[in-house]
Amino acid sequence: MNYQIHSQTLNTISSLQMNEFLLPTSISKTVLEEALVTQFSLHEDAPRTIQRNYRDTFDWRLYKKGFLFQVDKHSHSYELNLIPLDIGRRRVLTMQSQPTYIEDIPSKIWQQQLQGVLDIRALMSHITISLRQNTLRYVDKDGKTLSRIYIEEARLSQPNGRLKTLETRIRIVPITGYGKSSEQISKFLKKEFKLKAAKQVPFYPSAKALGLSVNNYNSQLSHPFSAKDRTDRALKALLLTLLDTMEVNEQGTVEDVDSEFLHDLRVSVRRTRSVLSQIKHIFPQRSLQRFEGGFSWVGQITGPTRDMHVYLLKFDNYQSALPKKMQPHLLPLKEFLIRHQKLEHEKLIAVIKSNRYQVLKQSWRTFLTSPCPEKTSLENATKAISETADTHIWQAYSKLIKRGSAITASCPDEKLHKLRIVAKKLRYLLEFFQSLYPKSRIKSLISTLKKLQDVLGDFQDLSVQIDALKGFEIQMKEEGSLNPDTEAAIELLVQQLQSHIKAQRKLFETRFVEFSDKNMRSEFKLLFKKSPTKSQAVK
Amino acid sequence: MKVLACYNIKGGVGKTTTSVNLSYICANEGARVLVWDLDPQGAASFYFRIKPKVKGGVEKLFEKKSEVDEAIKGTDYLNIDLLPADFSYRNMDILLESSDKPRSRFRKILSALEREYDYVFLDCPPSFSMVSESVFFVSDALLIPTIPTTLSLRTLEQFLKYTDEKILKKLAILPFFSMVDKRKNMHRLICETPPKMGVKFLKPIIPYASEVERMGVERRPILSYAGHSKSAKCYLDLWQEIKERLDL
Repeated sequence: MNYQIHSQTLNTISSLQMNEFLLPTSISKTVLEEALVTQFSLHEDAPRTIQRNYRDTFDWRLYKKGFLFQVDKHSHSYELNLIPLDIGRRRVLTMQSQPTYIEDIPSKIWQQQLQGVLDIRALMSHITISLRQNTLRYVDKDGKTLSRIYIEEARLSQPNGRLKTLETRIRIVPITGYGKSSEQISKFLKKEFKLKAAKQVPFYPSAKALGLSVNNYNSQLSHPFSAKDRTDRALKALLLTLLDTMEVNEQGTVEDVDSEFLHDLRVSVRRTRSVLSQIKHIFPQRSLQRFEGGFSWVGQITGPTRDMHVYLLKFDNYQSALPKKMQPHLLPLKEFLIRHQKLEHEKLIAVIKSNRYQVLKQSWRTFLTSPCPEKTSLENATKAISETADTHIWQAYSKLIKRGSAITASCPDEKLHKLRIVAKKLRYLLEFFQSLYPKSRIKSLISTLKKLQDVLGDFQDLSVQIDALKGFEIQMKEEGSLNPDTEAAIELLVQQLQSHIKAQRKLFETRFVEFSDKNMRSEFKLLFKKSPTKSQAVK
Repeated sequence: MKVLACYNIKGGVGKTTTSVNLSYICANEGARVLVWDLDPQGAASFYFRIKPKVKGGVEKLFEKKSEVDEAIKGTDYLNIDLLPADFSYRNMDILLESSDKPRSRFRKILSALEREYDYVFLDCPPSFSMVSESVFFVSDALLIPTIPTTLSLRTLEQFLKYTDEKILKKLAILPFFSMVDKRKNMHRLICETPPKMGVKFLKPIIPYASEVERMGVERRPILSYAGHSKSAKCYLDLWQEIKERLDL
């Protein structure tokens, strides 16, 4: 993992529009301020204490899209700054509370800009700096500000609770169209105090001091394999990555920062189970049994909270699917979901903290980090990973084609639900082993498979939603929170979902034809069905 | 980027106070705003304490994008920039008339700013000319401050009558009452029952108030010095309704 945020020098961050100097400890701040006030026509604003937060999603979505999101907490307000890392103007917005989700930001323009980037992820504080800021404004005879000088003494909050004093900075922010004024001030500071320009904005040294990395997390699995890696070693490495992902998402799941933590944790569990169930004779079956059971348990106990998250995420769509007059009647359902989400989440926290869960993870890690025996009687353990991948992907693909071709217009829904699982298994295999194949070709296969999966997923999802909504209706009745209006709203919603099911089933036929066409078959054959040769063990 | 023009054939009706105050409110909502002071008298520039001067004048401004970038000045407010007035703007009409495509020259300037700003407020000079026609062509909405008097309403009627129908169709015409003195019977009556002209008046009414006049002394938007005043509230309500009408 890369633990270094890529540094960007000041001159590449034109949008920050500033010249920044570091003040050596040998120069007193007061002396410097006095010299500036004597030299220039400056107006001194009252000093401010600011708590500066650099916020981003857990997986640094804003930074990766080229933005720094800086939130300055003043005494009664929060100043949001969305700062482009390359060109463009920063956005500034003052609000009364700290935003966590996109809908907390009371500006349509901001929401439009951030929607595609943040999606449902929460903004978390990654870096916190306490600042004492003195502001001097360079003004002309009309009282117009031409340039702002900020003198900032900063202390960085560290995970151990201690504060690390950062170098005092003098930041000169020119006002558009008045660049000369800032140049004069910069020249003066360089000449009179021999100050040196800071090479980086404070975000970078702070991130470095905290050991932060923007590349530390990616929910998309892309494990680098070498074709000749021994299968048992390669799979242990893959499973270890999945275990890391599980653990990385635990804290966010416990704190319920956003629903993606639990989602990603569960996906890692599912992927782990998929490896264990699909690729056999690699590890001693006896050792694996308790892990298979353990991860199946984790899948089950995390399910109810995830279900509540899903229905809460869908709630706005549910509401807008109803006639306007009926929409408020659905609100008791939302209250029900929130209430039960909290209850389920409490249970989930207890499980994550439980001895059973912790022991499961620890022993799994011990198993995965223990070296594989040089010699083994397990027939697939020493095969090259490329051979294992070829065999399993081809088998999964063939199974999907066979089962999919057997689907007819009159066969029961259950068959489609089972087909969804077959398709998912193939998807996991393609994703696990993608680094062994040409990137563009494997991506194209995944993309076509994804379209088929979307239809199967939506089809299954609709059935599950209908059952769940009916179940919620009964539960609400039992709890006494179902009034006749809400009952009618839920029932109309169920009817609407039922009408979508038929459309989805029709769409399956089209997508399956695309997926199973000649070109796709020959591509799968070319990539994964190798001519039968005697398999060779890798030492 | 949305272009909102504060326009009226008549002068002294509150166009500049509207441009300055609405741009301030809009910027406070997190939008990046440019005010283009098109009036050679330079009142908007004055309110923002910026010299009404564009290097090379209007001719240079129409030449290329870099000249526009050069001319833009940052105000004292983080999200608001100003393209200042210049005395040479009095010749803008002549310049546009001598051009093959006067309207597209205007549009070119604004398109170049598309990535930089979310809103442009055009503070228009009081006239009915090639400049105003070009403004209509590039704008999404015309905000028309109107004093509730017979003559002012007649001017609005004339404007609606003589402006090219095609232009009017694609523009949102948003008149509202401005400089209203509720002590005057006529003002009160007209505001209560606005005449039917085929356009709907915005509901908020901007009063004739001392805090609005004080803008000349303070040289800043009302909300920055009298944020809790009645006038400030009226501008906030006005902006709210504009957003609703334009679905912003």
